[in-house]
Amino acid sequence: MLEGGKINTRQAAYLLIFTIMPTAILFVPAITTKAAGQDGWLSVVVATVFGLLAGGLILALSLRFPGKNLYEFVQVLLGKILGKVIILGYIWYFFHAGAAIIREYGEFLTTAIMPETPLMAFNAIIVLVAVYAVRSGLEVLARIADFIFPLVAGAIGLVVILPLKEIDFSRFLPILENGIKPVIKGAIVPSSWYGEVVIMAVFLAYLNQPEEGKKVVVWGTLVNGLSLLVVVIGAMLVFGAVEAAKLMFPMFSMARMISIGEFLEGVESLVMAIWVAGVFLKIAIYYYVGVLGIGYLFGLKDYRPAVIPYGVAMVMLSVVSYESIMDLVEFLDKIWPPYALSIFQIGLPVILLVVSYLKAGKEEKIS
Amino acid sequence: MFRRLIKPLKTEWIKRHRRRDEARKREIETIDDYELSADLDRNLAVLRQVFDRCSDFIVREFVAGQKLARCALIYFDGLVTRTSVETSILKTLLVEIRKVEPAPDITERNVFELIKEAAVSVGEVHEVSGFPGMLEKLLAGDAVLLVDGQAKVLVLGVRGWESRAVEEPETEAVVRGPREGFVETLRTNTSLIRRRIKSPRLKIETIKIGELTKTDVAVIYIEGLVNPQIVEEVHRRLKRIETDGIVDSGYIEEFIEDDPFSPFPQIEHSERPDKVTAALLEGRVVILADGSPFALVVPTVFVQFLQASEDYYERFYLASVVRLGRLVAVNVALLLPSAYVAITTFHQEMLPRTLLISIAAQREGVPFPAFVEALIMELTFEMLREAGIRLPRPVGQAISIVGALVIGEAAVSAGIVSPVMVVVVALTAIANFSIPAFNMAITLRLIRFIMLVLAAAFGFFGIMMGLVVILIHLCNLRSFGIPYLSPIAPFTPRDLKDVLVRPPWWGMFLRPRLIGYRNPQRQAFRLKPEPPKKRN
Repeated sequence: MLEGGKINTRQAAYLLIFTIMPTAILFVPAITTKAAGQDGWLSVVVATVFGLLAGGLILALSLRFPGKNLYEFVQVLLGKILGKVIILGYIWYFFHAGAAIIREYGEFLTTAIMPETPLMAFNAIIVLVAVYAVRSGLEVLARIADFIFPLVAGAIGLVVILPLKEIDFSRFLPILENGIKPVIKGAIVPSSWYGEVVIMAVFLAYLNQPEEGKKVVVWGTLVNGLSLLVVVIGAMLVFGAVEAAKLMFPMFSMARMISIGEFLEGVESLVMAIWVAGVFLKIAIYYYVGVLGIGYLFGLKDYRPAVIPYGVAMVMLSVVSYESIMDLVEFLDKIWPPYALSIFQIGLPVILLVVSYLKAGKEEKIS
Repeated sequence: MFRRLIKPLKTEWIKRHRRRDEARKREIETIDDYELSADLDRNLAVLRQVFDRCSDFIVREFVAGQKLARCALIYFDGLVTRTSVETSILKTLLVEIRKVEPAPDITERNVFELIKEAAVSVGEVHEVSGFPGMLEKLLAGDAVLLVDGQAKVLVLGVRGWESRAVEEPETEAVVRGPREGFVETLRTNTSLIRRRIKSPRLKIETIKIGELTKTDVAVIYIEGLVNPQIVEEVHRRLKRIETDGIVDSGYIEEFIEDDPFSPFPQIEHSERPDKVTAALLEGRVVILADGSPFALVVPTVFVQFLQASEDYYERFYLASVVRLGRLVAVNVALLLPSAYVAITTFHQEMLPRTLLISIAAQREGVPFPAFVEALIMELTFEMLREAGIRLPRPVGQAISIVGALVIGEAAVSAGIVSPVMVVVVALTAIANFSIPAFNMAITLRLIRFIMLVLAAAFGFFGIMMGLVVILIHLCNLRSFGIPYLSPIAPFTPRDLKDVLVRPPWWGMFLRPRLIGYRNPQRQAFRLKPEPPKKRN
């Protein structure tokens, strides 16, 4: 047993939310608005439906192997050797995604808040802090999620509510100006975020009430959808679709608009500080899942010795793999969705599910 | 690789300490070799040898009655109540025993029974036949009666010593609420609790800790409310302690806490019997050590350090607002100096323009960066505070005058610090003082300096990372199995009632779930007071 902890339904849902939301609310609004214009919010709705489907897939998969996480059931399903190949693949996925997230966060801080501090400093520090969280195990991650969820939710709420006076509802119009096509196109990138629900294939095994897995996936996805929707609509209503598409981080620009009574101004640093806590948890989750995979890959008794080398490698990858923020956004927009969706988020889970059904059928025939 | 190098050294180190440990134990056990004999003179000789050079050791030899038996009363001067020794023991044995004496069938054996059953007028009397057992009682303040021809002794409970009167606790003063505080005598303290909980379910178990001090440590709980596993765990951890002595319950705290390296206090202590009583009623376990007025309460969670006993006696609206205020105070005490440094160094845009200009103008002549300025002022203040606590009271006042002048006026006019910095330091200090638990306040004081360094290096980002590390640490902590941050993380909605606000008493009909889960309901459900309905 590499992880002996148990989490409850609410904590699992929080983990799912923190797996998707922190970076999604930062990058998705600009990307979808660029693709779908004022119908960006429809794209989010479409993507959320997709997210529910993807979540259903992962749920179906893990329900076939109750109490077993992704790394355990692939080995049961495909045998030790092929199973370990798949595990290796998923470790790569979590590792790569982790590095990309660290870069996203580092890029955001260097471009938007502290341009003079080197990227490496931000990336290394957050991973250093994450080392502590990852070594503490799943239960502690879940408790951190319990603690910061209200804070992050509050921060998002404030960012959306406080610039109310700038809002112009006519910016919704015209709806579906160019038909459904741009909406679908705009839904692809957020879909790759929702596809991250694949991480639940690991976490659902640790539920203390395994029958509530459905609740976890549905609620987690819906809350994600709601927060994303709120931010996308907010950004569009405040700035207008054309303007919002040009912004790098619409949510941050919204925070900058906040001004109350000539005194409470420029609270964006504060809002972003809270957001950093959220993105920290996202990094820790990816980090944890990847390191746990390493433990299964090599049959370790304890995953902790792998934590530091894995973290160092992840920081390195995060720094060297993109030239600039434009490069990163391009990657998130064009390359990541087809790559992640087709292989790790949908492709492999579908194959695993089909194999498990086939195998079950065969066993029934034999008996 | 390193481990391979370090390991032999480590095992050698452990071995050496084991050997020393065994030597220590042997030394302590030598006294156990003595035995009581039937010969009074021999016993006394042994005792005189053992208590050689102990001037407070008193031996009173006498003949009971009219040549009934040779006896010796031994006790420590100052640990016994002299009047009981004189009237209830000596007077009865010397004079009043003659009234029952003339029984013809007196043998050596029933002299002892006679003394025990018919003569000594002391409430607590028991026979002891072992030498170590006798010593233990003797040293704890009982008087011991040796009778010639008996290899056993009578232990007479006449303990009584000079002790402080029960008075108002200085560290936890209240405006409204009971004014009794614990004292240094364990018995008095248990009586203060027993007087408040008149139930046979209140259990007070005592064990002795410390080979030399033999300190009585009481484990107190209410059977049926407490989680028996926690009681067991408390006993297990207390029994582990093998040390020379326990001087204050603070020693015990460090021996039994879950994470010994955490800066955060994991065990609450209190001088107030009413607070301890409330904890017992919630199903917690209280540990009292003889010689210490501070009771330990386990398990403890973070929010307890923000609750004062007065919260529960005052109107609930006010108590709730005060509690929220304390939450602000915690944040101010922890973060204000670092937030000031972060804003002035990195995030000037957060300030309204006029304030920014005025701060910049004030800082104009100051030679230091904000960080150094803050550090100087904070350190000065810490020194002042320390000086104020340790100095005798008349001198302490002088210190506060000097401090006020140095911090408030001179430093500013000398151009070393800016007036805003003085305001920041003062606010931080006030916030720190308004945290009800002193041990939590000093922890925050300490962490504040780390946050200051982080803020100077990375602004809000650094502060946030510091906070996240603290959060991870707090999520890791447990106190006797209970997560330290509960009921916030893990989130227990039912227990949130008593965290941020204090609902009226009739509304808090459930005990905290994680602690008092054995018997969740503490009072009847519908207790909301209602005026009598109007007659039609």
